[in-house]
Amino acid sequence: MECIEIKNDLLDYLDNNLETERKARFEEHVKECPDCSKILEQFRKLNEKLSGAKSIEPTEGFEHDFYQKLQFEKEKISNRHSFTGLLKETYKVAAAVLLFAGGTIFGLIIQNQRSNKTNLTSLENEVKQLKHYVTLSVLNENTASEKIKAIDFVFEQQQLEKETALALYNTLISDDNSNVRIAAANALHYFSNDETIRKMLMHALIDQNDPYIQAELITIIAKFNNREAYNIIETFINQDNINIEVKNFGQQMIENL
Amino acid sequence: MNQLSDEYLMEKVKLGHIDYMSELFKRYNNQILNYLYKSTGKLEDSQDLTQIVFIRLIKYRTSFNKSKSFKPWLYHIARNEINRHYQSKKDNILFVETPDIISNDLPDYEQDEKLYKCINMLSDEYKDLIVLSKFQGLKYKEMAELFSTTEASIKNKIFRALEKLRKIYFETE
Repeated sequence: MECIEIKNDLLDYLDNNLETERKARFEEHVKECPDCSKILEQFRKLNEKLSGAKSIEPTEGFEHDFYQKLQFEKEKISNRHSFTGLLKETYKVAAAVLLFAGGTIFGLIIQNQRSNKTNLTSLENEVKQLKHYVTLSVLNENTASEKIKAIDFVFEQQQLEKETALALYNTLISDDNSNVRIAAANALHYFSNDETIRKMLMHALIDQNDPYIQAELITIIAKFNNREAYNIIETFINQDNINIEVKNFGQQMIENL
Repeated sequence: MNQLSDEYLMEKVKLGHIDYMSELFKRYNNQILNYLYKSTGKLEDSQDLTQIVFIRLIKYRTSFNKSKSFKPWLYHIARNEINRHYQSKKDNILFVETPDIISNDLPDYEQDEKLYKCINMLSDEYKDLIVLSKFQGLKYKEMAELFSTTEASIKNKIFRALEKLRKIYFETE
């Protein structure tokens, strides 16, 4: 092996990356060549010094500070989505209203205003139907803020359709985002004069693992102010795996019932 | 979470699950902080820049290519941040080492100071190569990706940088 080859193989030798035979030839040459031996020794020392360099540690609060910035970024992104989402949904509804209104006006002219009232009622129904489908489709995918926006549409409906109620129930027990779950709980609560919806909410309490939502559901169920609500809350808080604060909260609520 | 690859986590961030950035921050904040510290020499500036680097990862998340490694991309953004920092300050020193790092270890201090002085005598390109490969421990493959070149070419450049440093360190007094 020549001195020039030693230089080519030096980093691999120090990293222990040379094949056995090449390594043997490398070592053989270094043993006999004082220049290469000296260079190798100096490289070794340099490597040691470089790898022994000390590192600094951040000051206290550095990580916490970053997590706050991260939260801020998250909110910025979700606001941007909710704004564009809102625009999209508004456009969808506006376009539908325009289309149906245009169609209705056209129909009215043709029919010479004979069935004026019927057409307006049908227009209202179509818009309601559209909002219902928007809610359903948005709940199935999209971001948290878009889902919350879609849930807001529910409050405009006079009666909750079975399909929407089920979609809200599924959202309430399984959505990743607690704010979306809370919105779904409140939407169902809005229609809780319906016996089926009340049952859904009570059932959701049993299926709920998040203490925050558990407390929200207890508040809602307590407002039903009946024996069944009392029993459900009592049974729920007496389970072993319930968060102590939720237990205390539930206890207070049933004492007031 | 510990077992998930950097690329998987970054892909999640790219898809809008911003919370996954906390894990990437946990894994790399210290490394990036030390890298930036080698350039700024000021802890406070380095901390600010480190946070900016991780926020930039979120901002540029859609440009992350999951078929490439995360680390070279992270360092690419960190290097850009150093350049941006110096464009605003116009006092590029690229590598500094201040005594507070080594003050706990006085006997080594003079030796280390000599090493840092020698590193500072190198060209910016060589300093960067030494910092990334020796202090930051980047692999040849990662550095090749970072500099958009081949592993062989990077290895060759690192050798030349170390050879130059060796000569300055051992052959000048």
